[in-house]
Amino acid sequence: MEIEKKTTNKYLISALLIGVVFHGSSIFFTLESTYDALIHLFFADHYASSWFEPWSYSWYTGFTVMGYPPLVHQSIGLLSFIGGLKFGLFTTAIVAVILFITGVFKFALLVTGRRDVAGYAAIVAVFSSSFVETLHIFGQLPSIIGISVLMHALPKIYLWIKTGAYVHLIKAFSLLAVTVTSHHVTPIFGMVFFIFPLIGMVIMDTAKEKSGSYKAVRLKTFIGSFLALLWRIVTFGFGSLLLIITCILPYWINTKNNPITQVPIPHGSRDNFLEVTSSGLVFFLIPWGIILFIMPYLFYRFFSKRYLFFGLSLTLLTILGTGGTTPIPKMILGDNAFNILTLDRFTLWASIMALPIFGEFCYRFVEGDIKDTLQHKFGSIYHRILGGALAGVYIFVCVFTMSLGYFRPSQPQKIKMLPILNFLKQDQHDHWRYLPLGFGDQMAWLSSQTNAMTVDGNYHSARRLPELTSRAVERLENSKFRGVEGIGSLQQFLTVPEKYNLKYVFSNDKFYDPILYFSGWQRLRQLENGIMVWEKLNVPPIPNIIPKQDVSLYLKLMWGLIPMITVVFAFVINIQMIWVHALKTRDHKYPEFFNFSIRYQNFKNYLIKLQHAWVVFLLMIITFGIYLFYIKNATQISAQNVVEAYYDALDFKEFKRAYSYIDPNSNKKEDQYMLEIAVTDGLLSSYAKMDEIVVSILDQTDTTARVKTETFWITPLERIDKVFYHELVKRKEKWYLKPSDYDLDIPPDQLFSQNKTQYYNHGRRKISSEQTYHEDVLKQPVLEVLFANLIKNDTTYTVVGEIQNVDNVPADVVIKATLYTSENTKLVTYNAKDQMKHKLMPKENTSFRIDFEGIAWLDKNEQKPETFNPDEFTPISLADLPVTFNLQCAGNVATTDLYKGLAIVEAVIEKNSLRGTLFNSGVQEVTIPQLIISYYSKEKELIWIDQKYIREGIRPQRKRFFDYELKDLSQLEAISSDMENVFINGLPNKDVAYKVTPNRRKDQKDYKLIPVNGKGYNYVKIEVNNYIGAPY
Amino acid sequence: MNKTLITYSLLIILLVFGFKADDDQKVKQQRVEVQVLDFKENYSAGEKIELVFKANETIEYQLWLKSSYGNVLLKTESNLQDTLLFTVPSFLSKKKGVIHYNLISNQQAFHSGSLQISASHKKTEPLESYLGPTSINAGGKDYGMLTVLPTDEYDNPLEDSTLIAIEHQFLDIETSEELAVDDFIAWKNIFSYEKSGRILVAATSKEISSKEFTIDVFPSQAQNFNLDFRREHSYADGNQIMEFFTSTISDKFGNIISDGRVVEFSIETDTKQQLRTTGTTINGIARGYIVHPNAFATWTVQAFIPQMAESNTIALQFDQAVKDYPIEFSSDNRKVKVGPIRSFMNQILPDGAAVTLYIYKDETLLEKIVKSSSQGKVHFKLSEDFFSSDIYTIEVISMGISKKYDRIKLK
Repeated sequence: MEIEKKTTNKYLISALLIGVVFHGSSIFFTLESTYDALIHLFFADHYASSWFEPWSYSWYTGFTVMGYPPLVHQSIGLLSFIGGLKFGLFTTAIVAVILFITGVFKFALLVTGRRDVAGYAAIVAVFSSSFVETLHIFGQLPSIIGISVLMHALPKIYLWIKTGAYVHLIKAFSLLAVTVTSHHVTPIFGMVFFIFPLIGMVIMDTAKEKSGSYKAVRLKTFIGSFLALLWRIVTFGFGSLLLIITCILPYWINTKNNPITQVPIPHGSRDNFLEVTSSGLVFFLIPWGIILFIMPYLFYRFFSKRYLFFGLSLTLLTILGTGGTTPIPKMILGDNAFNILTLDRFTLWASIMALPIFGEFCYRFVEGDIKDTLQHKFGSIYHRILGGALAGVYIFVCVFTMSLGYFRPSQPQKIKMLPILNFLKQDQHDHWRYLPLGFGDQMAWLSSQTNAMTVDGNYHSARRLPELTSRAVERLENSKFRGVEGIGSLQQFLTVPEKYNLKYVFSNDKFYDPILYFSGWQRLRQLENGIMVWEKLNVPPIPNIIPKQDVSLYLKLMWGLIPMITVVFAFVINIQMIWVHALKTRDHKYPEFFNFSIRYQNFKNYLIKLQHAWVVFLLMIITFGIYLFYIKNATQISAQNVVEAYYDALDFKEFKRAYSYIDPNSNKKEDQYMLEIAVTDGLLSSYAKMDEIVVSILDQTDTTARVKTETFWITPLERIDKVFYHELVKRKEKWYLKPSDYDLDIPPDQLFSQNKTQYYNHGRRKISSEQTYHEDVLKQPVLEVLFANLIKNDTTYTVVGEIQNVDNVPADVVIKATLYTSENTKLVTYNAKDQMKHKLMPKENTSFRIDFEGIAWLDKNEQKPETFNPDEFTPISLADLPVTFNLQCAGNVATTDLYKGLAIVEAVIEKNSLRGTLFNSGVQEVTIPQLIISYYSKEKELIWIDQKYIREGIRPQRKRFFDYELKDLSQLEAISSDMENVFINGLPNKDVAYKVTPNRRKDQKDYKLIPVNGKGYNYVKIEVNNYIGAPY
Repeated sequence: MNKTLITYSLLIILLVFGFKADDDQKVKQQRVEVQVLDFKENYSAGEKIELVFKANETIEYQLWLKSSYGNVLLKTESNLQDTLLFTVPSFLSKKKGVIHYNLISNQQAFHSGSLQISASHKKTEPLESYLGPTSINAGGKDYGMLTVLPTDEYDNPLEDSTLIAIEHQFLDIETSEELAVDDFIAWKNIFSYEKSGRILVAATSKEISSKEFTIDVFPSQAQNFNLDFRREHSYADGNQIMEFFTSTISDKFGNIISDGRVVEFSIETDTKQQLRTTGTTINGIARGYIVHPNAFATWTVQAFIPQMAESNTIALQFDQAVKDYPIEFSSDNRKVKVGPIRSFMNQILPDGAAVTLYIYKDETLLEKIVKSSSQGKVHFKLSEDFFSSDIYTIEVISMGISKKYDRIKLK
């Protein structure tokens, strides 16, 4: 064995000590906010609670954990029995650190054959920026453990092929098995990128022994040596293939049974790094770090004859790691693999592969021939300065990487889970599914602490619902970052929640509030950690028996037992041997690869020149990059920049910064500006995220300019575009905006009062864990459908209608429509989304429209829209023509969101546009007003419903203008207005009508209908609905 | 064929041997005499049931019980050799119904009979009862149904024709009706009265009572009502807020309709616009608020409860608050100063009045600029970026007054 020599390797020991202290103490501040760590924690919790059951109901309405190799999760799970899940996580992370440092040591020892050089490599490995990033930013524990154990295996593989001693083969296999069970991608690609070059090196070494020197090795001797070693190579090859297959056989079977058919999810590592500089930083600059500066040396060494194959492998890895910057990676991997793999791992491997040579460089620089040459050529001061700079940059990159998660947090603030856990435990709330919004990866931590299930999940390869897999949506939870696909998926879940037994939404991001409200959800309460709980009425609880995909017992046993067995086996064979050897005092021979170490002397002169030239070149690029960055981000250097900066500040609600761009000579005081901002509310100012801004300069002189600013905003409801005009002025070399006008309207009353009916529902009147008492269950409010019509619009089908709450209490209304063919075959079911008022006061009416939404882009060949549009609608494709429909309407007592203060004070129809004014006559501030426009035929039959959100809110006693373009409905065709199959709370609508409203005044004047000469319609009706952001 | 033959022969052999073995025992046991010792045939649920037999032969006996709950085999508990004591387990003795028994030994029955268990005399309180729906409409047509399932302490239904008194109270009415249990249940429809309010319902059977149940009787469909309004002045200043309110709305039985019902105030203007404001009732009165128009208008107003009731129609008129306002053009005509706009007492019009400026070129509208007044004034600036030097038509509209200037040359 190579470690236990007569002298202890002081470099390795210090590397281990520093590594464990440095990483071991910093993981407590970084690991939990990494991307992946909490996901691994969730899996670990699954194994800790049901070790042999691969099916987890917690996510995605059920998924199998056989989709990810289990070793690391099982280890955390095992350790959790000692000190809890997080103890397990941190312990495993520390073990990973130790494995990585020793792994690099062994790999470097193998490559260089020198213990001092390997020691240097171990020390530089501790602060290697790619390792720091993978651990502290990404949290990819299995990946780290996989590659570390693989590095431990490499010397054994070398020795087996070189010497043919079976003991090495067994050791190699034992370590390879651990690699396989901890990470599946590492051994497969590791074979190609690490083991093939290693085999090449063995052959080269053998050939050298034959020929006497590397220089003398010719192709013929090389092939000769290869043939001589062929049997060992083949034995190893087939053995490891067998291991890869058998150790995680259930994984392969699962992959075959549930192939990944999902739409690829965009990943930063596939970006063009020059275009998306943030991806370039995270996936290229940081992992390479300081190694970038010694690239010439690196490639010079790796393309020496002995390392030739490593050189080729390194080149390939480097190229693959550049993602979408060049088309080459896509050509090498093919479209499919390119879109599934995350390419950052190639850079990680490349940087790890470079570590031994980097260690060698450091050794030669600190105490070897580079030092001598430099001192000889430039004097010792220069060498010291260079050394200081090298160390300085090295430390800077490491610290910068560590602090990335602090300055640019990838996760929302840490959420206190206890109130959520308590909520889920109380009153059987965990009998329904829940959905967290805006939790980031902390949703995995929530899932691992509760038995309640969610429709979402955090391991996207395991997604099963087509609503999720057909879109590039990583999680519903962060759907706002996924544009149309994200919000589209989310809307489907929110519109038809009963399909998934989804009743509770925990919202940590008020961005989603409007879509929740307009889809018919209501606020329940705010938990003490600030999370808003939304609830949907009329959702049945999860059935007692839910389906799962079972697998055979032997697969379960394999999955549960093999990973731990491989660890025990590898431990006994490898570690135990060390002790056995240590006890014996006999001297051991150095392993074979020690024979191939070289003496470092006479560092090449031209290489020093090349290296210097390279560094100067790099520094120039960096300086240029910084300059570009400054020009682009210097906010007031041009008219264009100041407008962009102004909107950026508004977008991030940094109003103080926004004010700093306002002309200081204007009479707008900061307080005044802040006040004006504070009183604006609405979809645009409170729920929009800027998507795009186009600034065009209309007119510019040296000191003034007029610009047109086209802005595009993403809101949860729709994509908004709005054009603003600004005047700019230049003062003291800085551009400023002139302040815009604001609403000057002064309402007549300083203080006024209004009476309002309020409602309260006790829920359970007796505090009891039993089923709610029969007499505490409220009667469902009775509704009545006044009219319903199945409409064909071009190729899509829609049900429109009008419903009234005929009860004496307010109702929350859920309407579900089903279409049938002429043979009464069910075609499709969907719920009414936002084209209706979901909350009705007694006797109030609403029009409603039900679209039948399909799952977008189920057909892979379908062209996806390039731009974002949350309002995007994918009509479902129907197998047959619908002829009849069925409506199931359910009322439940509502006590919230019953504000009716909006009045229509102007409504003028001119040509095809409806222009009007809304007036807020009540005492609450309306955040998002909504117009619901109904279209009627000549016979006053309802034929179409449309809606429009008004972008600005309306404060009490104030007006808001609106414009609406009337539709062209000449294509519409009414198919059926047969109301036979309309049901209210399960009872036929006509029975309800007969019993509850026998004296209905059908002759009443149609006071809401406005006559209009429209395309395909003769009347329109305007109704208003409103969302109140902060009700009281 | 062969296989079938073998199967049949095997079956026959089996049958023959089986019967043979039995025959032996039968012969032997026919001599056993069983005597029934003292026990009755009728019990009430929950009573301890012990069956005692006396047999002249001391062999192993078992008692086979058959009930609606299933079959049970009991072993004898007696120590005396000729007295056989069996205790019926409580899960059977607690259930109302018939238990058949057979005294057997070695699959041979010696004595059989049956026991009748009736419901216990101890009843459970509260009486099991259900009421629904719990909210109905006044007028005597709508009803809630009370269903009573009287049971004993072991949840056995009481025998039919047990008398149940169903009582209810409404205002000062308290009535009681006795019903006999039929097929285990007794039920009654409790119809609403003409008045709205709350009916309390309860049931009693032999000193055992139910919980108190509640039926809320809501007023029924609203009758037509009267509409009225209140405003501070009759000027169309676009600022003051006026109020519409209804008379106290009641149903045809004189009940004031329940709180929260929607009343829509529909306004038809002289320009055929349909305006609307909404109110909800409190104590039968709904109030709707709307801002005054900003120009002369005549409104025809009617209030509706959709397809259920409506008010009379009232007409009201708004007088012009602003009679006129000045407009000043700058020397290059690019700055247009509107105002000061003065209201009906010559006071400065409250801030926020919309002033719209239209710019036409050869009869086509180029631009419409809306600004709101401050201190009664509005300034428009017609930038050269949009309007090159030329001749335009400019129109300013505010507070119902339109002023048009043809052939304005922008320099």
